[in-house]
Amino acid sequence: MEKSYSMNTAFKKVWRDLWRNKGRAAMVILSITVGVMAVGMVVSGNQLVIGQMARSHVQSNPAHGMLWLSGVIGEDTIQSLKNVPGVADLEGYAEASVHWKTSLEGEWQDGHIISYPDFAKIQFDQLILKEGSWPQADSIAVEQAHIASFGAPGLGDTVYFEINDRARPLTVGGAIRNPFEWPRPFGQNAAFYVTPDAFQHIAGYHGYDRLRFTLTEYNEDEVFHVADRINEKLKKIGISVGYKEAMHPDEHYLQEMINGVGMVLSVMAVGSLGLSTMLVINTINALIAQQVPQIGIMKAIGGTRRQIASLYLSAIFIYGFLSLVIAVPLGAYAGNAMARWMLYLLNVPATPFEILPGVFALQMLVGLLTPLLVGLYPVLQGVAIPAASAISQTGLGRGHYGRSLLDRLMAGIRGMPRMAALSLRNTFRRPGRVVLTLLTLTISGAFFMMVFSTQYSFEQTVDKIFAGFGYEIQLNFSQYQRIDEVVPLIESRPNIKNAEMWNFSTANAHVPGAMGPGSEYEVFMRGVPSNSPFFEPELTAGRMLSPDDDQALLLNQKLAGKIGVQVGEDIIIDIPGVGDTRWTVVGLVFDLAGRDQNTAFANNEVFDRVVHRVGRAAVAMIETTTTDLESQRAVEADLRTFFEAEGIEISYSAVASEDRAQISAQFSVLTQMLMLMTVLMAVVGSMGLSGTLSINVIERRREIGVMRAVGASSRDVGFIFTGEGLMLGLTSWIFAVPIGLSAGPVFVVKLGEVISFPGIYFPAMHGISLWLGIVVVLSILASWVPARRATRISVNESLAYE
Amino acid sequence: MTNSEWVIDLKNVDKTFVGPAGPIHALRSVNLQVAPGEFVGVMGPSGSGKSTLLNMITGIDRPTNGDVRVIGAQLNDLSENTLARWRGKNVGVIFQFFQLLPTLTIIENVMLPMDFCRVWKPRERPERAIHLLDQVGLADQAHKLPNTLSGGQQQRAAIARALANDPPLVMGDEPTGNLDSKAADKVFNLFEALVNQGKTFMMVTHNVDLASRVPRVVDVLDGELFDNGTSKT
Repeated sequence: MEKSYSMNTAFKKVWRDLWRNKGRAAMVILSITVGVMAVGMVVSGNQLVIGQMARSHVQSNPAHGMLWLSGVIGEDTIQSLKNVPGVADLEGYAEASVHWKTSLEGEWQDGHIISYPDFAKIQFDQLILKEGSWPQADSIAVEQAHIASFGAPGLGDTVYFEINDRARPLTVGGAIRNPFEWPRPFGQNAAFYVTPDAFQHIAGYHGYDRLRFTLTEYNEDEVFHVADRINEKLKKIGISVGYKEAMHPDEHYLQEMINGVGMVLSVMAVGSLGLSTMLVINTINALIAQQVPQIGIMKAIGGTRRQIASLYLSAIFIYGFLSLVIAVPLGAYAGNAMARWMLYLLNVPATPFEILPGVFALQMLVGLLTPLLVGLYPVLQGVAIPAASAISQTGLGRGHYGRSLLDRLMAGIRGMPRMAALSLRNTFRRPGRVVLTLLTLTISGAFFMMVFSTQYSFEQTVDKIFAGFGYEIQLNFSQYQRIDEVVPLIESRPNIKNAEMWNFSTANAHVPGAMGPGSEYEVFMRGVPSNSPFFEPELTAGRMLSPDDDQALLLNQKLAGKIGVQVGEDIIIDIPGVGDTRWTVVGLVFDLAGRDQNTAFANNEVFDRVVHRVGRAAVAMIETTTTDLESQRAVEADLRTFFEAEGIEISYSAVASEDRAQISAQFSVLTQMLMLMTVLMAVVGSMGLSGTLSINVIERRREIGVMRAVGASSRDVGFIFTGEGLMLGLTSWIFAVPIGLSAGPVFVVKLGEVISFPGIYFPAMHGISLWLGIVVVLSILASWVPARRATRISVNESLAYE
Repeated sequence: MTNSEWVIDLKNVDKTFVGPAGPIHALRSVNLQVAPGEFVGVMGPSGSGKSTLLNMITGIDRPTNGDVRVIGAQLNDLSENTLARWRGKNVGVIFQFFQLLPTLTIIENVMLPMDFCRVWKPRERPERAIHLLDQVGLADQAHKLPNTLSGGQQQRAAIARALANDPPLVMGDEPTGNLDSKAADKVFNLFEALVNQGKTFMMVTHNVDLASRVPRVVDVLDGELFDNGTSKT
C-alpha cells in the first residue's frame, strides 16, 4: 500500500481538524466572508460608481457653467454672448413644461420638453442617442430612463401633448440619454426631446431660455464672474439670469453626494468587518481551548511553541483563504450590482462586470491578515500553556468556575427554576466569550435602531415640513387670476374644504452692499396670505410672520446660511420688473421646496403691493375633505377639467402627498442601503451567537453527559442551550437600546450633513421593539442547531475520553 | 557510577502546587537515581505524587526546589522550547489514556515526533514508523484513525510513537491502567523487550502483579519517595 507523505504530518492535522470540525470551520469562514464581502461590495461599488460617473461626465464634454434665464433669447443674442469676456464657448437650448398622455382617454401628466437646434451637434453635456433617431420634423425622442420610470411612451408609440387645450399626437422615433435627467425617485417627471419647430408648436415660443458655457480654463469664481457679465448684458434686453451653477469639468455634479454616501457605507462595512473579527476571535479562542490537551501532547512528544503555533496559524490562514474564495466573487458581484443600481438612479450608463484589482488586493489583505492578526494572541496564549497543565485538563470541575464575583453573583440568585438557573449561570460562565458575543449582537442592534431611527427621523421631518404647509393640492394658473373670483370657484367644487391664493416669483437676493461674483443668490419668493390656516412652517430661528409685518421675510435656513444673513438683518431682493427691494429677515424656516431649498416667504398683501399685483395671484393652495391619495387625485383632475372648461389654463398641478412620497422614496434609496449593511451586521451577530453556543456545547459535552446520566431529557438539554441563547440576545438588546438611542441623533446629524438634509431626530420606538422581536427570533434560531446537537450527545459518548 | 552517568538523577526535589485550599506538597525532598537500562516501577495511591514525579523527569513540569538531571541535561536550566526539543529526542512518553491525536492516522501519529524533532530524513520517516508499528504488531493498522482501534491497540501505537526518535529513556504514566489484563500483559511484554534492547524504562502503575515483574520499584507516599529495591544493574 503506497501512501504519499509529501505533506508534513503536522499540517495534515491542521487540515483534518478543519475537516473534522466542519461546522465550526464553516462558521469562522462565513464570519470572515461576511466582513470581507461587505468591504469588497462597498469599496468596489463605490469605486465603480465614482469612476463611471467621472468617465461618463468627461465623455459628455461638460460645460463649466449653466444658466437659467428669466426670458427667451434668439440666435443673435447667443452669438453676442459668446463675446462676453471670459466665455470660451456658449450654447443655448430651450426647456418647457408640458402635459402629456399616451392615450386620448388617459389623464394628463406633467413632463417637460427640451429642444436643441441640432441634437447631433450638441457641444456641452452631450446627449446620447440610445435607440432610433434624433428628433425630426415628424417624430420626437423620449428620455430612455423615463420609459420604465414614468411610463413614458417607447419607440414607435404615440404621445399626446396638450396644445391649445387639445391633445396633439406625435410619434416617438428615438430614445435618448441626458446626463441631467434622472429616473424616479430623483427625477421629477418625463422628458421629451423635440426640434425647435415642434418646441414652438407645443410650448408656444421659439428661442433659448437655458445656457451652457465654458471658460478657457475652469475656475469656479470665474464661472460666476462670467454669469454676472452675461446677466448684465441680458438685463439690457429685459432678461436676467435666474439660476446659475458652476460645474467642475472632471467631477460629476453629484460626486460630492456620492462620496458622502460612500463614506457612510464604508464606515458600516468596516463596522461589519469589525464584528466579523470579534467572531473570529471568539471561535479561535474556543478552538484553542478545545485543543489544549492536544497542545500538551504535542509538547510532550517534542513540539516547540513555534511549531505548534504555526500549526494553528496555518489553520487560520486556511480559514482566511477559503473565506476569500467565497467573499471575493460575492463582494464583486454585490459591488457591481450596487453600482448598477446607483448608476441607474443617476442615469449613468452601467459598466460591464468588473473585479477591481485594487479592491481584490484589499480583500486579500483584509481576509488573510485580519484573522491572522486577531488569532495571533489566542494562539500564542494557547501554546504558552505549560505541558503539564495542558495534559491535565480533563474531567469535570477542573475550571475556575465559582471564583469570580460574577459567578458568585449569579449563584446568589435564588428562587429560579433549576433549569433556568443553569441557563443563566452557564450564559455568563466565560466572561470573555460573553463580552465578545454581546458586543457583536449589541453593535448590530444599536446600528439597526440607529438606521431605523434615521429613516424614521427623515420621514417625520418631511412630514413635519409638509404639515407646515398644510395644503393638499397646488394649482398653478398660466395667467394671474383675481383672488376674489378664483377662490369661490375652487371652493364651489366637490370635496374642497377651503382654498387660498399664493404668489410665486423667482428673484435674486444679496446682502446690502454686496457686489461681485457669488454675492447674488436665486430665491423663490412666496407671498402667503397673512391669515393663512395652512402656513405653519418649521421655524428654526426667529418668529413667524405677523399680519402687521411690512417688508418682513421668513427665509429658508439653508439659503440664509449661503447668503450669510441672520434673523433681524436686512436683505436686498431684486425682483424682475420691480428692481431692488429691502426686506427684514424675521425668522428662518426649514423647507424642502425650491431649487436646493431657496425659498422665502412674505405676507402676500405686502408682496402683492411690491410686485404691483394687488388682488391677483397665480397659485392656488387647496385643502380637501378627503384623506386618501386617490380621492385627492380625483379632486385635482376635477379642478383641471373644471378650469379648462372655464377657459382658465392651468400650467401645473400637484398633489402634496405625491411629492411627499417622492421625497420619501429618495430617502429610502439611502436608508435601504444602510439597512442592507445592518442586515449583514445582524447576520454576523446571530452567527456569533450561534458560534458561541456551539462552542459551549463542544466544551460542555461531558457536563451534558452527566446531566443525561442523572436524568435530563433531550428537551431539558435543549431548553438550557436555547435559554442561554435567549439570555444573551435579550442582554444585548438591553445594552443596544441606550447605545442606539444616544448614537441616533449624532448619526442623523452626520448623515444629514452628507446629504444636505438637516433632519430632526425622532427616536423610532417601533424600531426598538422590532429589534427585540428580531433578536428573540435570531436567538432561538441561532440556538437551535447547537441545542439540537447537545440533545444528541449520548452519555457514553460524552463521558468517554478521546 | 558518577553523577553524569545516571540516566535519571533527582536531588532534593520539591514540588508545591498552590491551590484555592492552600499549598499542596506533591513532592518532598525526593532523591532518585536510575542507571542506564534499568526498569523502574513507581507505585503509590492516588494523589501521592507519582505523576508529578514523572512530569519532573520528562521536563513536562518544573520543580519548586532541587535539581533534575536527565540523560546528562540539567532540566532546571532549559527553556520551554529547548525542553520540548530535548524531550522529543531523549524521552518517549506513554500516557494512561493513550493521547493519540484523533485526526491523525496511527502512522502519522508515530511520525509526528520525527517531524517535530527532524531526527530522521523526511523520506525515512514512513519506513521507520512502519518498522516501529511492526514491532508493536500494528503494521497492518497503520493507516487507520485511533478511534477505530481497541484500547490495547491504541496503547501499542502510543508506544511506537514514544519510540519514534529512538529515545534512551521511556516513561509510562499508568500505561496499562486503561487496559484489560490480557492487553496489559501484551503491552508489558513490549516494555520488557524495550529494556532488553537497552532502553531505560520507568513506569507508574497501580497493578501489583505487573509491579512484581519490575526489577526495581519505588513507592511514593504523600510526596515522599521510598526506594524498595535495586535493579539488576
